This record gives sequence, structure tokens and C-alpha cells, in this order.
Amino acid sequence: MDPLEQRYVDLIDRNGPRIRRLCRSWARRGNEGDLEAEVFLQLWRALPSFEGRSNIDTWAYRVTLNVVLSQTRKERLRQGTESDTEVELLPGRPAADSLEASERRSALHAALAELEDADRTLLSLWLEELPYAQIAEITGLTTTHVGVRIHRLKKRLTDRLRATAEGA
Amino acid sequence: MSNSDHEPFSERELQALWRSGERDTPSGEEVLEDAKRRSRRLTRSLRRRDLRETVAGLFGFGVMAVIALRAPGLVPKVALLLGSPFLLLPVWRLHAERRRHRDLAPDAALKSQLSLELQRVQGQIDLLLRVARWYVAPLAIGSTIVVTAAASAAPGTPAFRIATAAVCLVGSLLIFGIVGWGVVRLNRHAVENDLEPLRDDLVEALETLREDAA
Repeated sequence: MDPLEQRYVDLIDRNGPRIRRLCRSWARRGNEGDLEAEVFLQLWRALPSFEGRSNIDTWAYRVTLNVVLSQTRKERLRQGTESDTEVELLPGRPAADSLEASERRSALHAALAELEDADRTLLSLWLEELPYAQIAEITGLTTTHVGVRIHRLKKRLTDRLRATAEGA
Repeated sequence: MSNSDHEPFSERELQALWRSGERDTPSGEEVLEDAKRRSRRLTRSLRRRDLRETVAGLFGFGVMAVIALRAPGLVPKVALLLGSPFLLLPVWRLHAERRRHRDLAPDAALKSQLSLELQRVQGQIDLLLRVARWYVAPLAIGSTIVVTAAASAAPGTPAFRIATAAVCLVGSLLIFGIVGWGVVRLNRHAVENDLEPLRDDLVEALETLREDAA
């Protein structure tokens, strides 16, 4: 395995689950495998141009989000629908995963799918527990802007989820 | 983290919910093999598309070259020389556009990527709306020059040659007028149905990222 291939394998082993979670959250139902494959393909094709100016994981997030958003936008225009994304979780849930947890997870994804792309991106990165500085580097916003915005979005998200829970 | 862990939909619960529902995932090596395979397939497909577009563009030039070179006399050859820049302009323009699109940075920050994509889409819109100027008109001018010159070199009396050239001139302009109208309509349709909604979507996304929108 050459150094580039080794670098790619290390990158995927380290970030694969996060990349898959992002794809799963944004993909249309039944399309999550295609979106994942497209992201991994673009990461492989872009890796030789990585110049080391930023952390490689931050770089991978940028490529991932650019592919995910671009594909989602195209898909949305093709279908002519707004945010018709997967809100039900995929098969293969762990046995210990209760129905209630599954419903709450579905509610989370449904609430995220209602947001604007940029807001959804910010919240997805926050849910991945990335620090604001890294989110700022990925999105090109200032750290302050990221902080203010995420603070408002978190409140909006929890209000929405609580309203859903109360209505159920 | 400001919320309590026990509060419904606390920050920690949301982050845990986000991470839950994991599936078995392939290893880095398996992902690499798949990415390499797809990459080779994509490279082949892009090469084939580029070749197809270039061959299609050169085909028109080739047809005109055969007409000019088979016609008697020097006039058709000079006409081919004069018409060549017009016939080759669309081929060069398509090639230049393809190269420009390849320069987009796949790893740009989200905000920059949106701006770059907006520029690209606006560029495509401008290109398609001006298709009559950079595609139809040059081909029409180049072809008409060559066909008319070849017709004027046909054997016969001067009056016959002038009449033949006039018929070819009018016929060529008429054909290009009809075909060009169809090309313009098709491009306008693509702009209105695909590119303008995409541009509006990008403008909206950029607008939501403005600092004062926070």
C-alpha cells in the first residue's frame, strides 16, 4: 500500500463513522449508500491535493459537506420537493435500542430535516461534538458567529422536539 | 453544556441520539478498494465524454473541410481558411468551460464553496443564454462561408454559379436559423428549469450564512 493509500485508510478508519452519520442524516431514504460512496470517492480523488494547511480531519469534513450539500441540492431540485430526506433510521439497530429511543432519534432527524441547509450543517457538526473553532474552520464563518447561531439553533431544535413529544 | 443530563432532549441526549443506530461499517481498506474502483470508472467516463464532445465539435469542421477541399479552385480553400476560426470557436469554448469547472476546490470552506458554486452556476446560465452568440452564430458563419464559396466554384456559367451560391447562402442561413432557434429554446428551457432554481437555492443558502443573519 503506497503512502497516499495508507493516509486514506487511516482517514477513513478515524472519520468513517462520522462521515456515515452525516450521509445518513442527509440522504434520501434508500440512497444513503450512494451518498456515502460518492463522499468516499471524492475524498479519494481530492486527497492528493491536500496541502496540509489545515487539520486533515477538518479537510475531510469540508469535502464531505460539500459533496453532501451539492448532491442533496441536486436531488431536491430533481425531485422538486423540500427536505424529503430520510427521517426513519436504517435497519440494523442494536438489540438493546428501545423503541422509544428509536422514535426520539427519528424525531431528531425529522426536526433537522426541517432546517435550512446551513443551519442543519451547523447543528450536525455540533451534534458530532466538534469544537466551535473547528466548525468555524469547516464552514468559513467566524467562531463567534458559529457560537451565536448554534446557541439559537439548539433552542429551536429542543423546542421543536419537546412540542413533538407533547403532541405525541 | 448548559442543559441537565436528565432533562428531556438535553444536549447530551441529542448528541447520543445522533450517534446511535450505528451499523456494521466496512474497514478503511474496503472503502479504499471501492473508491479506487469507482475513481477509475469515473476517469474513464469523463475521458469518453470529453472525447465525444470534441469529436462532435470537430465533425462539423471535418465536413466543411471535405466540401472545401473537394471543390475546384482556390476560392473554397481560402473560404475554409477564413471560416475555420468560426467553426473551431465552439469546440475551444466547450473545452475551456470544462477546464474551468475542474478548478473548483472540493475542500473549500462551506461559505466559499457556496460562492464558488454560485459563480459556476451563474457562468453556466450566462453561457447557455448566449449560446446563439458563441455556438450557433460562429458555426453558421463558418459553414455558410465554406458552402457558398464551394457552390460558387461549381462548373457552369457565371450566372449559374452565382445562382447556386445564392441558393446555398440562403439555404444555409435558413437551416442554421431553424436549428439555432431550437438550440436556443432548449438551452433557455434548461436554464429556467434547472439552473435558475439551483442558483436561487445557492443565493438563499449564502444569505442564511450572512453574519447578521445569526
